[in-house]
Amino acid sequence: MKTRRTRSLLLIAAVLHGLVYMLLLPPWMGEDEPWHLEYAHHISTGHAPWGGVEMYGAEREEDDDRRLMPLSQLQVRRRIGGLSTGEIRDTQARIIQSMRDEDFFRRVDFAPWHGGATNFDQIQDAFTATHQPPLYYALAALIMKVSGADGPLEELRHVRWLGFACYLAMIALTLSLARLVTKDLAVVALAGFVCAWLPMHARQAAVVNNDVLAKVVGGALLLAGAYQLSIKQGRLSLASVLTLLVLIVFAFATKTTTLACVVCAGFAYVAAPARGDAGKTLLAALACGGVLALGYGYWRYMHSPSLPTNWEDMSERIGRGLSTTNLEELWRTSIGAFNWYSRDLPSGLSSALLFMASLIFLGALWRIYSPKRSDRVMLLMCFAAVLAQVAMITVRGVSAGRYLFPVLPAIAVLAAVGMNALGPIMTRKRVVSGLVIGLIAYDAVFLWRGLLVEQYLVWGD
Amino acid sequence: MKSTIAWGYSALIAALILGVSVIGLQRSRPMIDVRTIPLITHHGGINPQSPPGEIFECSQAGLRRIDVLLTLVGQTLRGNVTMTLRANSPGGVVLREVTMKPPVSPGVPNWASFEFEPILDSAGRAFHFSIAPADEAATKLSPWVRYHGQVGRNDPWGDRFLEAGATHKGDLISAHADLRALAFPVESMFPALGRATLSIFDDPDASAPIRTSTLELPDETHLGWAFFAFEPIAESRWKRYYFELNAPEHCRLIGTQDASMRPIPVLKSFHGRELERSQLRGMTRGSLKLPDRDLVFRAWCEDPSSAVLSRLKERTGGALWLAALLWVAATTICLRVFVFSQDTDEAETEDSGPQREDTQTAVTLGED
Repeated sequence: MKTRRTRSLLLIAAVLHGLVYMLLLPPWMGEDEPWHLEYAHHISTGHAPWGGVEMYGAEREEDDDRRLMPLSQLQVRRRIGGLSTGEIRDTQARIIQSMRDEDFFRRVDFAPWHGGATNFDQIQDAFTATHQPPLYYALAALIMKVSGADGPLEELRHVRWLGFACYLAMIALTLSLARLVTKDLAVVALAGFVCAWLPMHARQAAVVNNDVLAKVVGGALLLAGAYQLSIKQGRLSLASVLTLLVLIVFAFATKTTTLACVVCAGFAYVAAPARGDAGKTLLAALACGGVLALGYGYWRYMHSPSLPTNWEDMSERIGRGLSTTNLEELWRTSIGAFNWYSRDLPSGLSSALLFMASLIFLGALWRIYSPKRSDRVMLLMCFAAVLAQVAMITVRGVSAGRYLFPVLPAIAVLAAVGMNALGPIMTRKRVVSGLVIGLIAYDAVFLWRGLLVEQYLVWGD
Repeated sequence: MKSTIAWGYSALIAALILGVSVIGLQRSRPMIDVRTIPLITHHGGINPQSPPGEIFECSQAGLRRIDVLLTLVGQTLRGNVTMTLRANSPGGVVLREVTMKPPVSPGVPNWASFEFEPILDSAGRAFHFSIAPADEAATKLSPWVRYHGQVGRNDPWGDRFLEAGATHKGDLISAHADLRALAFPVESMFPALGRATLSIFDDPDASAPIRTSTLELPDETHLGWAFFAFEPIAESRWKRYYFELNAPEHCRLIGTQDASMRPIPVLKSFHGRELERSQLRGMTRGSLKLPDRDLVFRAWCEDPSSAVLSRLKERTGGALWLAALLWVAATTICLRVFVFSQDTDEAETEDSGPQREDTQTAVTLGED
């Protein structure tokens, strides 16, 4: 297996694979796309994600700001400066009209009656994307401006290319992380393949959502942390600290789901040179702590619903997060859910995937015990990152498979290492070949029996 | 040569996987699927005088099955239900009649499937179906109704009977524009014995209502939601409205109590407008047409592979074949790299890879 040729072939395959999802995912079928596009649209028209008008509720309805406009529009007005009522209202109305034209309401089972609907409150009450940090939307707005997209549908189609680029970037990040974890080039390529062929991740190549950027920033943080662990002790340079700080700023400017990666990378930066330069270690620790505090404060300022407001709220969220319903939801939306998560893969396939994932997980655990050509510390870091991400999702109290994707490089590396640890050495290649064919078959069922059928054949009335 | 063969095998397997994954794709899907998730309002127990039904247009040939979602509103009894399929309207020619005992689970809605001899020339025709109890036990079964509107106020079913023959008053803030209907749960309502009238005011002291609605259905509503529809109030969003519901002597609403233990009605409000185009023409009760709501049902047709393919082609806008081609190409590459590579079984390593440089401390690297 020639390294460069294999990687080139894998990247070509990933490009083709991502294009398949670009072609087949209908407009507005990425989760929450209308709200994300609305935010990006307002930025693209020259408005800044600050300087808005605060909103107020009141005891008496005549004093309540909701008399002025629906809650989803008040939330836009609160976050984005200089917007007129007409601009906010027209943007939502045009997006809803496009959703109607593209059969959104026939595809999503829980979509409400849309006759006469002109604002987002009539689709989903009290929901907005404008509490999200602005980095993704700034990039999306740039694409809209550069491409000259006209109308919501064209804007959506153009911004989806950002998701495609992020999908490819994730595969590159996974390959890089895998190279730090193992010397076995077959496992490196396998990790890239797992990242590229996991169907729910491949589907993100065609989605307008800040999760696509969050996963790239998260993956880059993990890679930075892993790189720090891989180099000689005491080599913590100012440049590497600055790199980390920039990545952390990106993370806070993208989404709260990157927090576990921030913590893992920060920990790696502090732990790696711990036996060497105490001054630099302290500097890195202080910098990480300071940035974490700043970022947390920023998210609070943005009214992020991801953050618990008090201990009682946190305890309630953890209780909800650890419930079997929530964990089932995490699994369901990680392996395959369609039409805004309103339809699932067949339960038999879900059980088979759970069985295979458990086997691969055991293989990965075995590799930590007996690393072979892999690095135990790196493997442990990957495990820690995945556990930290699951913990963060638990604290959030609301599950979705896409919240796991910032640590997807770590998941893919562990999966590849685990797959390569199954069975005796002489049959290992066959086992891996079988698992590769299995993943391809899973992708085929997801795409041709799941996505195609649910998006294009089963339409409601 | 070996390489060419490996590529050939890879492409063949990729195409085979694609082929196998689409076998059975022509399995029938509902042609019509009236959805309301979560379920909001049920119709109430069915009765033979004016059975609930629906008029719909069939876009495909071979209409062969109709499913109706039924829930139990009384004691657990399994009765027989008859589905009658007619041409065009409630007065049309009877085409099919099926009687069956639908599955019943207390508290859980179940689909009752009425299968019949396919109607081969159903494409492009309008049909009407209705469901009626074939025996007394089936009158405790209720279908579900999807009213045409976004739900604003959404109270649950009440927990007590309100006084019969009284005027019930209350108010609500309209969540959205175009307030067009209010629904109240009733124990039983016989409009023939006295009409129920809803009046809506925009001021608590106003004497003249801005809207009134009288329930004129010629039959009983039993343990179901009664809909009072009126001309939509266009600018209703975030405005408070006051209502008075005059219930006739025999009619008991189902309500709850407020913080001061006073019995109050519960209700659901509906907002919005009709859609311009739909293959659904609305619900019926007996011969009465109710175009502002639908029965929750599914209709199935024979679905040959060619029809499925042409529908897919039409709905994907021609992207289907290109996507299939790209998928086969991508999968071929992966199979060639991971399954049909000519490398030895021994995995290769990269000595110059960016592994730990300090072997003193990097003790975690394993040995082969």
